[in-house]
Amino acid sequence: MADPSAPSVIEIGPFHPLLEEPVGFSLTVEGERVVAIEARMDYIHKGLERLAQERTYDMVPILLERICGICSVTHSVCFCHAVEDLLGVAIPPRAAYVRTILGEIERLHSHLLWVGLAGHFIGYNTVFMWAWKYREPVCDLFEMLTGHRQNSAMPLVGGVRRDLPVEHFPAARRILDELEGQVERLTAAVLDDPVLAARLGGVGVLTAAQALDYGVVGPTARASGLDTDVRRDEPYGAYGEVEWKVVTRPGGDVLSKAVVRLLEIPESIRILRQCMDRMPPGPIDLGLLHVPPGEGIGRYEAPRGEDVHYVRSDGTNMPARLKVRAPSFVNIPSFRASCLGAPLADVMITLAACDPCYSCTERAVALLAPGGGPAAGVPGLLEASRRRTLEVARELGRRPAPGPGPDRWEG
Amino acid sequence: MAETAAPFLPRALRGSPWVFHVGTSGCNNCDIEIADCLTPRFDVERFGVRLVGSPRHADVLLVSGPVSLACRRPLQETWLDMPSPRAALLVGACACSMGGYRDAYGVAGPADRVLREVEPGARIAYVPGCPPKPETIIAGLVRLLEAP
Amino acid sequence: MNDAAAVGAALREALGGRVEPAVRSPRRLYASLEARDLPEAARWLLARLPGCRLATCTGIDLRDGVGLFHHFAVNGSPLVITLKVLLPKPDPRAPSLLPLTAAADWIEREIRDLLGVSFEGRPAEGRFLKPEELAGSFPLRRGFDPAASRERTDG
Repeated sequence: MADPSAPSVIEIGPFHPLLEEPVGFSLTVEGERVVAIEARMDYIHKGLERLAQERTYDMVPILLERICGICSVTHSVCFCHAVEDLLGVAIPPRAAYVRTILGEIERLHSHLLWVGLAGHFIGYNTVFMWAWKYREPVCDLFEMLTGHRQNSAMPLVGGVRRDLPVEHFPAARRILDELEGQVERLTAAVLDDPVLAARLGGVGVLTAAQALDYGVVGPTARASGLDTDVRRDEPYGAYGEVEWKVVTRPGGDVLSKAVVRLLEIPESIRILRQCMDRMPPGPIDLGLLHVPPGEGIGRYEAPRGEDVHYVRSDGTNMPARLKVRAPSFVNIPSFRASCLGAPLADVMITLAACDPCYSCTERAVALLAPGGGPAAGVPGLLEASRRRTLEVARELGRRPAPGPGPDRWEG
Repeated sequence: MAETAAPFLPRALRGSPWVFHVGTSGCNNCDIEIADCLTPRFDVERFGVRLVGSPRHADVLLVSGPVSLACRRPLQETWLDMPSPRAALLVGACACSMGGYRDAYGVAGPADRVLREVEPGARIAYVPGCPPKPETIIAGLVRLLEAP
Repeated sequence: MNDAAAVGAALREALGGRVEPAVRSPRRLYASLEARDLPEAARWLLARLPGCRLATCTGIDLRDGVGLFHHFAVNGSPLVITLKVLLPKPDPRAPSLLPLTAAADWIEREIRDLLGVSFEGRPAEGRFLKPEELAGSFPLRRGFDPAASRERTDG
């Protein structure tokens, strides 16, 4: 008979019904408390850095779009930044605006996707459905401007491959106008909900000192009070010329991370509108033909935070070394600080709060069970997380998570 | 055609296929488009298609992404866990043919070859695209279910 | 102190001239040093530059050794500082920065798995992101033959 007081180990992954990617987590728990946590990231390892060293500078951005389906603009533009740093060149203003527009549309759909998934993890499937419904027009917008829902194939070292179809801007503006109202209602509904505030407030706290120690970036850092955003710190694209602000919150908990992302959505819409208004005329490409030997570092503010690429050239037409450091690679390890000592029911949402992108992490990571069997742990954790939401709701004397049917904020 | 063979799935299962989704190291773009099929615009649940949490409940396995070395065994075991009759729908260029990752050292092969290592006659349908649009995924699933 | 040249000069002074700073632009500082001085330089950066964090580390198999380039970013500034060390082959070893910053954890494990660099001063850990099939080989080393694993896929 096993000793009931001994710690038990819960294996999570690698196949998870909703997180969609294979990754292995192993949680050690004592009763309800998590005492140790370990991750395995090999399920997604495909060997992309090596592959990029066998592709020409023209081909690499196309390949890098496939690092991550959500951050496709991020990685290809970040690579271009690194090579442009190596060359010491500035791209034409029109190309900078095109890249900014692509990047902000990507941020919009990425943040909406996260809001939906976060809702799902705590048993608010209504939030999931609404957020993903609002996300669809954003994908339409991307398709309208680039011809594809996520992968534009437009970034190119020294500029962009194609110009944006200006004749579609009026339609794009209408989509943004509609989205603005929808997001406003969604944000108000989420922030006004006492159950959500009680469920997410104070959960999975990452202090400012811990955030700096783990080197976390993006909304995860900004929700812990660190004032960091590559778009402002090292302005690229059109960010130095348009008006917007960096959103920070001091709390460090899951609620703060949700608030930061929700408030960044209107900022992105603002940036997009200004970019469409001010698109400068001119060329979109420098027409670079040769990359001399040297090294360069590119940075880019992805929806999840700072992306870093290091490129080393030996004068051939392929990079001698490409190093990709996606934001999730530094954000995910912070779960050690935010999950330890937490009740099991909070693990799922705390892990999700840094918007982990496993594909990026190992330029390609996912959730399968060690040893192969499908994870029994994940549905269990999800269930625990949802039960906790119901408990919180009951303690507050409220109707539990919204049921099916039209939502109150849609009348 | 005057006469066609009966579809491989019994009529009851064709009406409401339950699917289990496995992301085998893809870039997650296909995974998101699959999840998109379940959300309000496409909402395949109204046709009875349900994403289930265990392969033991599933009729169709959705596979996305090139199969990485570490995912090869788990994918095969997931397939063998499914009750017969079963079918696989490979979503996206990577699952169909390894796509852009064809030359990477970390991939074990396209999903059809990995599945046929354990069941040579496995029933497999392909939905190419990078990623395929949700409409295409739904069309692929319908074709799979109606095929003899 | 947001300028690469100023940081480079101050770092050189703090380490008694044991670093060789090279300024490529006001935003990029590259500093070469010996592996044994790496923790001291990193400690100085993390303590003296407010908001400084370890962004990542690039490992490169070069002709004359294994290069380890630690990249430090500073929150609120465009500056990226790269500390470059060259480790002798065939058994590259470097001091771990894990005692200084938690960010070094996954960053060093990745390099250990893919490039075979041993980081001294950190606990022994299992496999992290390299699949079992590649145990014993290091995909980012020069001698690694990606074609060997491709044969599997061309069958």
